[in-house]
Amino acid sequence: MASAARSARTLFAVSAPAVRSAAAVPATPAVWGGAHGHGHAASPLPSARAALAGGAVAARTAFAGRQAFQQKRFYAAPVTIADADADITSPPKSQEYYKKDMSNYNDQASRNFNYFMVGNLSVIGAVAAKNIISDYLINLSASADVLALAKVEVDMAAIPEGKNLVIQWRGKPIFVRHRTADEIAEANTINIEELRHKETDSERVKDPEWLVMLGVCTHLGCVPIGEAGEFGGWFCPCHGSHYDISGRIRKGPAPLNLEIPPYEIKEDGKIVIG
Amino acid sequence: MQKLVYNVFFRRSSSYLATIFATAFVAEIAIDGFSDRLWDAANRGRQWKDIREKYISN
Repeated sequence: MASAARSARTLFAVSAPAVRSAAAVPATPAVWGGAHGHGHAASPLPSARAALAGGAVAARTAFAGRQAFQQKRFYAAPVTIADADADITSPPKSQEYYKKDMSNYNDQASRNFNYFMVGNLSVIGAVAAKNIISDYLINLSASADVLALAKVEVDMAAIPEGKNLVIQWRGKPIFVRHRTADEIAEANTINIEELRHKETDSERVKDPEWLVMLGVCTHLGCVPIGEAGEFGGWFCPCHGSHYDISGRIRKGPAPLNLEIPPYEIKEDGKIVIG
Repeated sequence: MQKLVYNVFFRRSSSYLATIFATAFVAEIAIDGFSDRLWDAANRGRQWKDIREKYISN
């Protein structure tokens, strides 16, 4: 038994710690082993030739039964052709041969290199994250063709005092009224506290002569009729909302004053809406 | 030298992160500028900005 274990041990040259003692190993210990358990005398030298001569090949294919699991540890080593009679229980070179040359090793440089590589990956990740976010936000903003239609110019000289102009802006009607001095005065005399939606006239216009409003009734979205209604402003035919000369709701179901779009009055006599 | 680099850039997470963000900021501008110049050089005379003055005068 002892000799069997020993020869089995010779065949585990690459996993020498796997077999610890004869007691722990059965007569046919593993895939390779057990050859000499069948009565062969152990060869004096644990060589490859001795292992093959002892019927190891046949034993490899034999059913070995359930074995206790033992991990085999392998290590990479340069391939060398060993002499057939050489001892295969020890590596062909000394242990020093397999050790990494650490004489030029600088632990601070190595640490810096590691941080540098991790940092580089982080830089790439940061740039990628920033670009993903900015691309997503750009995607949400209006495209060039929408922006091209987004602004509308109105020539102020074309609207005489006391007249309305209705134009289209982003698919919605815009009321532009050139108000007379009387109308401006009337819009300013209203007591704000009586209003449903409390806004002064000066909050609603940039230049009191020019009233620019979104022509959509704040009730259900009809387009009010100009110069109509009980308050001299606009009247919504759908459900009878009355707006005054500043576009504020005075009577009827609408909850809010007519909306003011973003606009600018330019020096060259044009109103740019949008 | 290695010790100095480590102490300045890597030792604290805050300085490490600040270095990463600063590098990302600079690197993106540099790479974008470089690749744009490369592209313009490879396509000289074929882009709208090269032929714009033939069609629009202002």
